[in-house]
This record gives sequence, C-alpha cells and structure tokens, in this order.
Amino acid sequence: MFIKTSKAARRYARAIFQLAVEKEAEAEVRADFQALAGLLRDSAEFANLVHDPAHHVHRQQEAIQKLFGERAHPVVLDSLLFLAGRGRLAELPFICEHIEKLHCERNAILRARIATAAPLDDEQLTAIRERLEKRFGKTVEAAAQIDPSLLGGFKVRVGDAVLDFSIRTQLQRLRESMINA
Amino acid sequence: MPIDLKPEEVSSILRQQIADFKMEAQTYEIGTVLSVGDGIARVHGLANVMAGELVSFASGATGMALNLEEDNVGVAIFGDDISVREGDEVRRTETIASVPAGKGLIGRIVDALGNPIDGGPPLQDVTPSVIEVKAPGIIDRQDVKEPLQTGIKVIDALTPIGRGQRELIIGDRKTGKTALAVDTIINQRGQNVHCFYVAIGQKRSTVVQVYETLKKYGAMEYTTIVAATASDPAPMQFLAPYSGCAMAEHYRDNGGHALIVYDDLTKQAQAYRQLSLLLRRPPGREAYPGDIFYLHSRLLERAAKMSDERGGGSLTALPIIETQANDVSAYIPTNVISITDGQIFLESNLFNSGQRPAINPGISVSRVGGDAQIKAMKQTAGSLRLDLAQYRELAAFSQFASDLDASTRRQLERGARLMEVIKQGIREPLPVAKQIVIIYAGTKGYLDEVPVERVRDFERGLVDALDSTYSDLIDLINDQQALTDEVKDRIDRALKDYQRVFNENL
Repeated sequence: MFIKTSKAARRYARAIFQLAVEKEAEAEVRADFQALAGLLRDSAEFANLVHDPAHHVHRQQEAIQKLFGERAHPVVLDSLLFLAGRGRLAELPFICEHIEKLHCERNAILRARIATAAPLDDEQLTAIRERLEKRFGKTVEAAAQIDPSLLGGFKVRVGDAVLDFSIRTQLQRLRESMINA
Repeated sequence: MPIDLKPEEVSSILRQQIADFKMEAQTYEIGTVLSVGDGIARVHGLANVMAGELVSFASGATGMALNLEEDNVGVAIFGDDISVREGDEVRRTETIASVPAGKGLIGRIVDALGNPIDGGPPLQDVTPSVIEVKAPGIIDRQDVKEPLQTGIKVIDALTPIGRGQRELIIGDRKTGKTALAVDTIINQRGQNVHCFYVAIGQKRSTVVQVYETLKKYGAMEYTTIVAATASDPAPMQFLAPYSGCAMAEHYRDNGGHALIVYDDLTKQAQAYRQLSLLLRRPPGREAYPGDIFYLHSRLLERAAKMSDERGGGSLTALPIIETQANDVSAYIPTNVISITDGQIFLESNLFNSGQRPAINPGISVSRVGGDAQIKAMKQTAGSLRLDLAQYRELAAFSQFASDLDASTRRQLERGARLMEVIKQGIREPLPVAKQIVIIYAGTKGYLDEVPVERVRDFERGLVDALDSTYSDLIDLINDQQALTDEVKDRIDRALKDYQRVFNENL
C-alpha cells in the first residue's frame, strides 16, 4: 500500500506500462520494477542515488547504465535513463507501485494482505485465498503478515475493503452488544 | 432505592447474551490519513465513500467526507483534530449525518449533532432524522395563508409573517435583531407553534442569556435551542442550521407548526468559507466559495406550508443576517435577501434615536404575509403604511421650510404620533386585536390631541383598559376578524370614552 502519491508518477507509470504491453514484455518489466522496489528498500546507496539531487544527471545515467545495462529489460533501462534525464528519478518508488497496480488491474489480480495472530501454514493460506477468489471472482495474490494484537482469527485487507474475522474485533462487538443491551 | 438483583441472575443474563452472540465477520472499507490540520484531514483510500458520508477515525473522532478528489478525500473533523494522526485508519460508516428529532427535544439545549449540552438526562422519545434532505416539492406545498403573530405591532401591521414564510431580519450589530426573534418566540405561547432557536458562532454567554429569557417567560416549554458557539469547530457551525431544520421538520411533516430562528447565517457563511478554503476549493467574491448561495437557498427552501394532503403543517424561518455599516449590497446579505420572502430592516440610527424596535418601515417588505393577515388588520394597516410614507417625505422636506400650511402641519403631527405608535418595548408582545385598536386610534386621529411625548402613556392606559373595561371589544374583534361597521362603531365609542378618561387624568 502506498501512502503518498504523485500525479507525475502515475503518468510516467502508465506510459512505461503501455510501452511494455506493446512490446509484449509486461511480465518482465513488472518483475524488473518489483526488483527495483526491493532494491530501493534494501540498498541505502541505490536509494541515495535516486533521491539525492546533488548527483549530476550524467553520473546518475552512467551508474544506471553500469548497474542495469546487462540485467534489466531494455524498456526498463530506457525508462530509468529517461527519468534521470528529466530529473524525475525521485518518483521511482511511486512508479514501481503504479506499475504493480496497473499490472493487477490488467490481469484481474487482487492483492490481499492476510494478517493473523499466529503464522499460517500453506494449506490454511491456500484455503483463505480460494475463498477470496470465489468471493471476488479474481485471482488473488496473498501476502501473509503477523499481528499478535488480533489475538486470534484473521483479518484480510483487499484494496480499501477489510474483512475482519479477528478475535479482537469479535470481543469488541460482544462488549458493545452487552453495553447497549 | 435498593436494586433487587441477585448475582446469579446477573450471570444468567450475561450467559444468555454471550450464547446469543453470533460470530460474524465484520466487513468495512478503510483509508489512511495522509495529513491533518485546521480541522481537515486528507485521507487516502476510501475509494467508494460518498459525499457527505460520515467516517470514523481510529481515535474515535468522526468526520464528514466533503471533497472527493482523484487521489484523496477531504474530511472535515467534528470535534478535536488533535487526536487524529497521520497514518491513522479511517473507516466508512455508510451513514450520513442525522440528529434526533421529536418531543424529547422540547426545552433542551443541544449541539449541532443533537447531543444535549444542558447537563440534563439523555434524550428520550426521539427518532433519528437525516440532516440534509431535499426541500418539499411543488405539489406538496400550498400558499401561505395563516398568520404567524409576532406580537410586534410594526411587523404584524406592515410586514406580516405567515406560517411557512421565510422573513429575513437584517441589520447592524446591536440593533435588536435577536431581541426581535426572541420576542416572536415568546409570543408563540399557546399558539401551538414549536420553536427552535439556532445559535451559530455566538458567545456562550449570549446563548445562556437567551435561554434564561425564554425560561423566564415560559417559552422553553415549547422551544429547543441548538447551539454551535464561537468555540465550536467550523464544521459544527456549518451544520447547526441544517440540524435545527431537521428537528423542526418533524413538526412540519406531521401536520404541526414550527418556527425556526437562525441566529445568524452570516456566521454560518463564514464557517463554511473557512471549511472551503481549507479544503482548497477556489475562492470567489469576498473569498466565499462558489456554492455559498446554494448553502443558504437549500436551507431556507425547507421552510414551507404543506398541502392539506400532506397534513397542512408549516415551518416558518426567521434567518438573521448581520450587516457592516448598513451595507446590504455585500455578498451574503444580497444572497439571503433574494432567497427570502421579504426582509425586516433594522437601522442603528433609528435605534439610537429611541425608535425601538428600530425597524425602517419604508424598506422593510413582506412578499407573501399579506395574504395571511387577518382582515381587520389589513384594513387598519393600509392607511398606516400610507400615512407613514407621506410623513417620511414631508419630514425630510419640512426641515427647509419655516412656515407650513395647516394641512401639511397636520400630516406631520399625525406622522410623529404614528411613529410613537409603532414603538414597542422589549418583551411586550401584544395580541393582534389590541394592536388593531391602537393602530386604529393612531390612523383615525384619536391621538392628534395627545402630546407626542404622552402617546406611549395613552397606549399603555388603553391596553390596560382593553383588558378590563373593554374586554368584550377584544372578544368581538377576535370573533369577527374584520372591521365591520359594528366593530368600527364599537371601537370608535370605546376610544372616545377612553379619550375622555385620559384627558381627565391629564
């Protein structure tokens, strides 16, 4: 879930994504941007390169060429060089988010976050995922998360909607019903 | 009183409740607070939220979604915004704002959301009622036809108000606007009209004053006060008139009669301007937003006289507007003047020269109330309006001329006395029959022999006499409702009679 957003990021993301679809490289481009998002989270140096306005455009472009010249898909590489040239490299985290969103929209994929008090095994996770797929009629990509404050049960977040089966919420409801009775 | 309840019973009740409790999934939609400040929160998410929907914050605060934008939702927070933090979860409630309405509100003071703030018990005998509803349609209405007696001579005679009308009270600060409205509420005693006084952006001490006055005159028995004071946040001040209106509509829609006073709409417009600017809506004239006209028109359109099929109830609105230095061509005054069915102008120079109520009868109008006047008053007031208009013209002219002919002087003398007649003390409402006799005395020349400074004494004595000696005359006027020859004759005789008594005591 992204918190902040920018209109520019949305527009760049749409352009890059359309180009990828045209070149029939949607999956590769998406994978590359996913990797970039991971890199931004994990590598302080790469984040610094992207965010620090003190770096000169040519140095940024040189670095990008060196880092991704061999590894990234040409569309991704060109996009990065173009963003650097336009001084928009700082939008990269948002662009990654938007590419992901566009990919999900195009392929009818729902991203769900399943929070539980205790870790789920694969079987449970699959069961929940199948139920969700049935309910929403879309492919569901689930990410698990541990939240001990739920006490038990689970809580699924899909987009803006929340399905709350947690013990914490049930107890709260029980409390309210007893106060109001 | 000891409560006779055994511990076993308590646990059995609890056991029952727990047994009846159903495990159900809670589904809801959420968003995240991006930024918060000045009572406004920007929220990401809440993709399906509707305009005007209530949302609840993780801290327990509630807000109203006002701006639905491409990538965020602007929410006005009711109450304190300190508790709301960036990153907080915001939940849709899928309800729009509503307030309690019904009998339980009578005599209470509530805030803009209908919570009692008078320290009394929780509201009983009330049902929730949606704040923003559409005004009644054309078919649901009928002409304004019954009078709403204000008890103030100059209003009931020259700018009469009918049940279901919207009459604006406009004037500078300290010209008696609130006093006029409060007197009108006091005069509704025994008229089966439920009154609502909505205080917007006022000092709390002023609200207490109004409450004490109404209580002293027994008017709280049929009145509710809705208060969004100056210390309440702007969204509350913006909502208060709609809340009061929703409460008053309960009577209108059930065949009853209600009167609502908005004191004052200038403050509401300012609160809405603050909200709009903080929501980054583009400012227009005087920095008010583009929909400021609709803000007031949709509120005042809800005042109506319902058709007989719909129960024939009515909601009369008395909005108040405060002007700066008598400037009625400012944005908000012109807007509200154009929406209402007439206006009562109060002027500070009249007020300061002792003409109270400081109503300027020349520019005050009532566009529909004339139909609602009783016939006797219509017959009496016709010549009063003419005489006053002539007096104003001559009074301006006569300042330059030293010696005047007899007829001009007579008109001036008459006018000066009529100006005394339309004076009236605060909290001294008069029933319409007495008003008719007094105005009749003025226009028919019974006061011409009375010195100007004694006119008020004459009137006071006459009112007392009408209560005792001539009480059958009042009954007759109330019975006939018109100035028939018989009524005229009786009034003439009574006035001649009283004139003699008055002169003897001189």
